[in-house]
Amino acid sequence: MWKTHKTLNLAVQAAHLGKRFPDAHVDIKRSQLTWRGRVTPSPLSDTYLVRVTYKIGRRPDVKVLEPALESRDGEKPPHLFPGERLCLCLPGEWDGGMVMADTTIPWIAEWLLHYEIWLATGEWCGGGVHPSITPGRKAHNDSAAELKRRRRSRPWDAQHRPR
Amino acid sequence: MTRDDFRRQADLVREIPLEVVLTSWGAARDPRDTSRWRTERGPLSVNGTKFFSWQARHGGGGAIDLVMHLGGWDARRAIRWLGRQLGGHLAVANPPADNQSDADPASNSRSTSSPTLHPNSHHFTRSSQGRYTMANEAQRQQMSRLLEHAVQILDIPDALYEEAVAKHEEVGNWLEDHDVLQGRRPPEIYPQGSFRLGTVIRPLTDKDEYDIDLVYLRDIKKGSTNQERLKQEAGDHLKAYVAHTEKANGDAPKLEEGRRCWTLTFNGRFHMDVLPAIPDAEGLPGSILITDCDLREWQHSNPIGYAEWFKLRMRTILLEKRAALAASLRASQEDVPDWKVKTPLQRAVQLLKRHRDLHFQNDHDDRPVSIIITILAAKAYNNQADLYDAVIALVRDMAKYIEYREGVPWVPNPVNPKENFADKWQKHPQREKKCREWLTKVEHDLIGAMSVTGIPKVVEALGRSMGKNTMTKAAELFGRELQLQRVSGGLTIAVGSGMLLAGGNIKVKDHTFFGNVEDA
Repeated sequence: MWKTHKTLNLAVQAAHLGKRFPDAHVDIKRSQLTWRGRVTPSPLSDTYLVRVTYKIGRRPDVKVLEPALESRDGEKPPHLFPGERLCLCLPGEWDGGMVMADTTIPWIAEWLLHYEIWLATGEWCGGGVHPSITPGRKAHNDSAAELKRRRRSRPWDAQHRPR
Repeated sequence: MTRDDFRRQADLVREIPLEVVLTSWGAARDPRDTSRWRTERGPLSVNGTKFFSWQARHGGGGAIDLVMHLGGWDARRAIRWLGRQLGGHLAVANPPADNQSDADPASNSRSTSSPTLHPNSHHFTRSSQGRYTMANEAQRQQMSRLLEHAVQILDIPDALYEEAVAKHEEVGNWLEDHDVLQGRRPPEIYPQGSFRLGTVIRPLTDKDEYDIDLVYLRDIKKGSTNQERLKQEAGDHLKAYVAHTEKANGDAPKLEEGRRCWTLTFNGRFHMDVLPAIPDAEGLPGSILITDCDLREWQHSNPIGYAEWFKLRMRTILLEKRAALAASLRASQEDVPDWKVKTPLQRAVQLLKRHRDLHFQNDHDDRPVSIIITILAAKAYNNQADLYDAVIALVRDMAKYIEYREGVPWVPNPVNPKENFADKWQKHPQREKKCREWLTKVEHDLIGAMSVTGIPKVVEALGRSMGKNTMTKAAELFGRELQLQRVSGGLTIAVGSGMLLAGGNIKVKDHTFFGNVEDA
């Protein structure tokens, strides 16, 4: 089960995370879930300490705590929000009915592996959409309403408005 | 760290193979005796998990004892060094707060904390033995995947391959037509060498050309011609071919005469050596006689027999791979030609040849020739299915197949043991020495690439030995393959570690990476 029709509460998300990643640390404080775990995205990869925070009605906020993300020839990695938050999916592609342990965490691992390949090659091979450079159709259609709804609560979303 | 943690850590690192420890320490394997190593504390012999230091007259077993000996350290420090240095082999990581490093064996810095077990290593529980193999197995597989992509880059591009095949047919038809027109029996024209074996590699620079070797076998008896005549008749046909193509389309190849063959150079892309030959009635099937300007006697050769021998050396894996390919194409095995299948032996030979090209870039005369590399590799090959395993096993064992006949180094032609491909080594003994040293260097480079963590470092390390551009492109292909795998729903991560490519069981749902900090 990775998706349900109704929004999952934080305790359910935490239980799934705890079951899938027993060595990571999960807690819920003041209606916010925080997951701290180490992710080694592939056998030859580095190990990253990652923090995910999540409040109902928002998108999980993902930050790599250690080691610090590196730049390549002065360029920051692609698919990052301000504050070096990982952009894992299109607005609207994730909703609170999805199990974070089966969506967010695997996407983090994949993001990190593509980040390592990007550091090595300068090419982001993981696909994806850059709102300003390639305003993909999907990004527009799926996200317009979603963005509008979220923009009120999250100031940084406004910065990602498709042009 | 509790005492239990410490014991667990010790049990884990003890299993690290001594070769890995020694390589990581910077010790060099003795090229003449692969069980001996040169360390700053004198020569050392390794036998399985045991070692013996000849200088200290002291031996021991396991990685911890070895590091204690090498560093003159206590057990705690040895375990800490192993955890830090080779943690990747065991999925062991350092606590994030500790930035001090014992990575350099020469450094005497004392750090207060010790490495802890990787929080995710519970995925690899079972036994300490099993833990090592499982973590390492996944790493070797990923390394093989990267190397396979590198071989894809090194291989001749499809378009050029097709062009070469077309030219081969064109030249072949020309020779055949003109023989028949002159009332001779139709000849046989077939490829030999790396083209036939499937071990062609891209030349080091764009200025260099691919080599294609063709045998032009006339159906005549030894008594009814001589070397000069055979060579001259081939030359006449080829001169006519060049004149004809010049008239027809202006894109004519250049023709030059070599010691044994005629060389056609096609517009700087590849050159084709055409080797005039006649059947050797006294030899084994496939034996031919070839000409040589410098020698009065006919020279013996057997390119078909040699290629068959090479194929036999990888028969098990070739049949397996062919069956798998046939199944995926829903074709019968007979419909899949051998050349469609690439075995780890062929790929390993390609990697070795590339490593050789770079290693001997400024020492061209002393480099081991391709046929010696190919023969030694084929002899050492034991049907390993994994490319990384195959290359490591090959470079460890290849030197064992250099024979000595009355003190003369000998790499026999497998289909004609009297012929010695290393005949030049007697006059230039440094070539044998350099060949052995080079094999040790390949092993050192590959194990070195395995002992760093993070794709960028792995790619950089491999890039130093296989070429930076090649490895960068290989990593890109690897990334694109991952992306395809995810889109098609075939990418999974492991419970616990969150690791991709490790035989996990959580499918990665399709999604779209979004946003960019540039937009802010």
